[in-house]
Amino acid sequence: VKTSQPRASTFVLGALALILGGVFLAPRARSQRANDEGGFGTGPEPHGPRAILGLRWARAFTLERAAPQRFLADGSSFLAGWLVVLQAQSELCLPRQEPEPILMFGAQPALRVNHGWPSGHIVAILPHDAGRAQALFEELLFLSEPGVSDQLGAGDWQARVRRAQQAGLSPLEAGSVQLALQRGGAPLVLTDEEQLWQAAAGLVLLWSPDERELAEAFLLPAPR
Amino acid sequence: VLATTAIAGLLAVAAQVGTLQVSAGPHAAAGGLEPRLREHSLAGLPLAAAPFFRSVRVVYQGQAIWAGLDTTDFPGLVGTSAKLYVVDDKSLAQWIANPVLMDVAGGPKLVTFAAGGLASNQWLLDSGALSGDAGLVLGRGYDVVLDLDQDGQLDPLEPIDGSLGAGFSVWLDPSLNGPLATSEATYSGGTFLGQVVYYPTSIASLGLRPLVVFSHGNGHSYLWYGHVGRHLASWGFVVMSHQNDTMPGTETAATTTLTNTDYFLGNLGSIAGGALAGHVDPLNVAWIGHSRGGEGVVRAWYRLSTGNYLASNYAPDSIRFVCPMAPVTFLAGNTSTSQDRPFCLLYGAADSDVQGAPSTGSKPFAFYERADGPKSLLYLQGVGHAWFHSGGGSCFCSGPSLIGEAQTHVLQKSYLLALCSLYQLDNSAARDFVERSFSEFQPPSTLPGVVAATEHRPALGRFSVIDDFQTQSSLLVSSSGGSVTFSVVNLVEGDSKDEDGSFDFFANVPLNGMTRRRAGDLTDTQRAAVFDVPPGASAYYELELVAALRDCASREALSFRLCQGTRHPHTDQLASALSMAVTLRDGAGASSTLSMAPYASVTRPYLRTGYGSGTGWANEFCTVRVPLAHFGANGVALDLKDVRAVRLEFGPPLGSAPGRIGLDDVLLLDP
Repeated sequence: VKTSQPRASTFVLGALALILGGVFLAPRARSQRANDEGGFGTGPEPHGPRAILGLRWARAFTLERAAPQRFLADGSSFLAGWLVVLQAQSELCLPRQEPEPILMFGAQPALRVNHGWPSGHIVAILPHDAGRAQALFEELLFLSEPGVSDQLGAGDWQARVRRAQQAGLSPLEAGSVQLALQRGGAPLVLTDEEQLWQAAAGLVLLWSPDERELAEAFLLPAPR
Repeated sequence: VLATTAIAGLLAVAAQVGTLQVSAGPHAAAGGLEPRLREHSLAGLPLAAAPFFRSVRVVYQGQAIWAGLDTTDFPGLVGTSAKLYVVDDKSLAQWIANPVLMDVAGGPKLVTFAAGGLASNQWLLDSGALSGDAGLVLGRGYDVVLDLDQDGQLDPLEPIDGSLGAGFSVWLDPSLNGPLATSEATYSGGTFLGQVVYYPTSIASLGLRPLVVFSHGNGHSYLWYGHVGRHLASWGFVVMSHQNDTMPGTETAATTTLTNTDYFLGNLGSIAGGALAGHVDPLNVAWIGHSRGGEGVVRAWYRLSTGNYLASNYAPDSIRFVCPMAPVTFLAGNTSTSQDRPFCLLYGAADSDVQGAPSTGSKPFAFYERADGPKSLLYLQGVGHAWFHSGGGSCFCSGPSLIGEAQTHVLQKSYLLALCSLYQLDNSAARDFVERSFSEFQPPSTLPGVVAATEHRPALGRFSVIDDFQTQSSLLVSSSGGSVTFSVVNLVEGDSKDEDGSFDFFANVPLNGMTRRRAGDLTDTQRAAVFDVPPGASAYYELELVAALRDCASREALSFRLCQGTRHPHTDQLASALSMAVTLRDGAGASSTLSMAPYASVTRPYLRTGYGSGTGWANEFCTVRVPLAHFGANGVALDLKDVRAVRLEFGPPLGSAPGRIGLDDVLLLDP
């Protein structure tokens, strides 16, 4: 006997249309599962900072109520930032339980919404201080060494940025950022964290459809 | 008149010996029994060697169950006859109210007592026809009675196995679904509050049911534990699996375990249309977590118990049981511990993600070492990381003899059902899943050749330490202060860690293969001893019992744990499970020796390669638990009130050689 509540799909599509509205340039869906990739799934263990392959989509947002920076242990929150879709080497995106590469934006971790496996498309929330609209052009966006975000402090983040700079990583090329912002469309005004993560989940459905279960968990209806 | 006289004579004999109160099995804990009834362990299984019979709590439907009586405890019964009954389990009050015996195993058996102890006094109670169907209860209980005067009722002083709880239970296959149809619902209470709940469809008629919460791992989904969720729900549990915030780490995972449990218990009026309202017991919750969610549930317990998280809809005492599966160990040991909660660790030796390697990665065994409550461990060879969920994808496995996802699920569902039944429903028969070694007691759907190491230890305060190597660093003194003598060689006591990056054996890392402590964590303090038994040799390790430990008559069991040292030449030469024997010696010099083979074998480390050039993965401790009364069974003249020494015997004639052996936690267990 299955007493299913209405699943997310209807709700999702309506919500996404309202929240995102912008122009998507979604990739063709990939259907292979992790075990089709061969091997036993351990994946490489990169030790140095790695550049991302590109920014595919970006859209600024503001929130009416602050959202917690879930990847920082200091309890900080944010009111603005960018929703982005970036491309990374898919072998760096294989979910692991042991420490993974940390996606960083400037001297703080990005709020990574999905792993990007196997698509290589990572959806992330990049918090920034309102008024620093140029941050997306100026800050480093990169995959830092494997670590556990909620165990790191301010000094650790600064050190990771320094190591990335020493490794020769640089901010994204301005033209690609501009193009991604054009794809994203006009800035988004959202009420709160829940709407923000739902918007991000919609992007996961479009850009990394193999992670559908992860995305739909943010899009479930309230109990009834 | 003659009959009456005969009966009176029998009862007089029974009363005269007075030792009818002696209990040789797991039911010896029946302190506080109504004095009218004589609890005595009767149900069990034959053994090929001394003590020739052992009590058990569980047999599976279709398996035979026997009764045994040590007539050396009852010499007055030798030559007499009695009728042996198997009856439906009754409580003490029910027995007192109605002592009439109604046999359910094909009629009472007429038995005649012989000299010779347990070897000569074993009787088949049932060859497998007894039903294990008890509805929603896992296992159908039965009592066993020796009707000495053959009057068809239980009289004072007649031995009964089961006056307090069942004498034994017949279980259906615990990997199979229970009797209830199940329903499920998915919903969300907000960001990282997405949940699915599995529950009995007929919950409206079931009263309060216990709650089991699943917290998934990184890159996993809350929907991937439906195989266990539906299984437990079919046995009457309410199971909630939630979205888990694992990407930042295990601190955030712990937060989502805490908040999702709170949300669920606070919104029962609306979840699943309100079907659960009034039917979920907020004081009876189990937390089970996988990988990052595994450490998450342990950390969640610590935060709840220390007031770091104040729940609105439950309390620390609500958490009956904490169970990580293949957990990571990101957090300091003194802040990520299950403390006094009942605890179980499930883990696979073929895990290629949370590998438990001799380097800086996670060390899942550390959670077992830190736990102070009743704890158990099931370490399965050939099981990969991902087989604890049902989400498919890579197995994250490496090594030979992989058992596959389906078999892993059989074992996972069996053990979790048994453990939840034990800790959440007080199903005492399920203790067999904790206390008996996998080598001699497995779920019935276990495939041939599956190997697992099992460990267990009661809660602090329920045992006395003879030696746990945590104090008294001298090789000649035990933790309890007694002297230690030995003929084993290369004896070393040390930290239970191997952080040299290799499982290969080098003499300068004597505790090679020990992965019981989180790397670099000074709050993990586990220690152990290691030694060699040379090829062809017999060797011993003997512990003196100090005065405070010598009275073992009221103790339940001797317990210790052994492992084989991975990639050591002796282990490679033995190339099999290891067996050994134990001798107890009393103050008068009398001794009793038992082979431990019937109780447990010590697994050969999993034949996995990596981290060096040899073959063999982490050392696998196996708990060996033997009832102390077995040493005095069959008339052996050992004074259990004055045991002076415990000698662990290796090599011929009763054990294996050669061996590289790790030893820890030599304990005397209380009832």
